This record gives sequence, C-alpha cells and structure tokens, in this order.
Amino acid sequence: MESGERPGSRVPPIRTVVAPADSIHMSRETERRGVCGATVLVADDNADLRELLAHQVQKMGAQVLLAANGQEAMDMAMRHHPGLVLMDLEMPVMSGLEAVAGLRAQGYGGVILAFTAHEEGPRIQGALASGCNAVLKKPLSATKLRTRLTEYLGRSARSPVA
Amino acid sequence: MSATQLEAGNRQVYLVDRDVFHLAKRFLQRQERAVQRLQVALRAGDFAKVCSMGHDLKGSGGAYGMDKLSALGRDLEAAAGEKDVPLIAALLEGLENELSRVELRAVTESQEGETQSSAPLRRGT
Repeated sequence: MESGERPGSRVPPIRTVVAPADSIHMSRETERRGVCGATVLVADDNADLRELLAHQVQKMGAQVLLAANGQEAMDMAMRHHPGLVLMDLEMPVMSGLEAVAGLRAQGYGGVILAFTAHEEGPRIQGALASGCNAVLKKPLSATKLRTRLTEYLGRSARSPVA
Repeated sequence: MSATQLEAGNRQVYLVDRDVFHLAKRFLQRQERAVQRLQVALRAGDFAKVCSMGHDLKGSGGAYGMDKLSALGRDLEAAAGEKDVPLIAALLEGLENELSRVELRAVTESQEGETQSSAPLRRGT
C-alpha cells in the first residue's frame, strides 16, 4: 500500500499539472519514455532490499545508483542528479528523513519516494513534510514499484522539471 | 517480487523467479548469519539491535515474498520492544527452524505458480 501522498497544498518539488485520469491511463510508450534511461538512486541500509530494488529498477530499463545511508544518498543525489530517489527512512549515519530535508534544502528538484515498514502516521507525515513526494509501504511488490516509478517518472517525461 | 509457497513434507518450498534466484539465495544465507548475531545481541541484552534486525527481516522477508520470515521479523521487533527475553528466544528458535526448512526452486516468470520447477536448490547449497 502507499501510505501517503504529499499534500497538494504544499510546494511540490516538481511543478507539473497532470490530470489523475491521465496518469492512470498512461500509454505504454509514455511509460517506456519515463522509466527507460532514467537514473534512479536506491538508498537503503538493508543490503538484501537494496540488491532486490536495484535489480527490479534495472529490469525496468533505468540506470541505478546505490547508497547505504542517508549521507551517501545525499552526496550521490547532488552529484549525479537522478530523476528519482527511493529513500529508506531509517538508515545509519544519516536518516532518510534528514537526507530528504537536506536534499530539498540544497535545491534537489527530482522525485523522492520514501519507503518504510512502519505503520505510524506521524512518521509518514514527517516524511511528506520533509519533502518526499510520496511514502510507500514495505514490502513493496515489483508491480507496485513499477507502477509508482512509471507514474512519477512518466510525469517528469511529459512535463520536465520546471 | 513474489515467491509462491508450497509445503512439501517438512520443507517450505519457495518458487522464485529465475532472475532473482541468486538474490533470494544470498538473502537466506545472510539470515542464517543474522540468527547468530541476534543470539549474541539477546545475550548482551541489546534489545535495540534485536528490534532493528527484526524490522529489517520484516521488510526484506516480505520483499522476497517469504511471508513466514517476514512475520517472524515483525514478531521479533515487537518482542524486542517489550524486552521479552523468553519470547525473543522462542522466536529465534522458530527462525532457525524456519530457515532450516526452506528450499528454493527457480522458475521462469511464466512458470510461477506451477510446481514442476527446475533446479531445486536447498538453502546454502
């Protein structure tokens, strides 16, 4: 399940206007354009999850960068400017939450999707307030991952970051 | 990914997509080592470590479609939060037992759900 969406009233990091129905009925070609060739940063301290996510994202045709903690994620995102960051919220050295806040403060305008195995609302609200576009609930199936990446990278493909 | 679960005698068989078979196998090998670390953490009274490792197992077990392992991770996380030593010890025994029963079989995506998979491989082999 997807635990939350960044409220529409907040300033979104990607300024696009996309009708919901349009995103649902996105064409296969748009999907392909959105994900293929995109760069996705996967940040998770759990090596098992990192490897699996990297494999799934690569299989979709995207290039993958890997980070094992929030500090690495922030450094890599500012250096390589991936179109999308998959950010675990709980990581050593620097938490995902801190990394997201740091990235937004430094002007990173790409999509950030946080994921967490926690259920609590405050953690999810905190992630959205820090600048995540959405929070995804672990475990994340390959199908859900594909849907969400397609949705967000597809938006970017159709309406470049302003 | 999803793994189809089958009960075969005392074995817990997971049918895993061929292209992630090596990752699933490595995941199980890591969990075997994790049990040792969890036992050390329990003996040291390091409940934060047990909680964190249980949390990780909950997430990664679920991601690999191994629901029983994921549930054990969830229960370990909760028991560590309560500092319930007997329950943690019982859960670790259950985890060790579950890992010893697991068998992976590689299937192609179109085969998933079928039982006549190829190349059965016991964990750790």
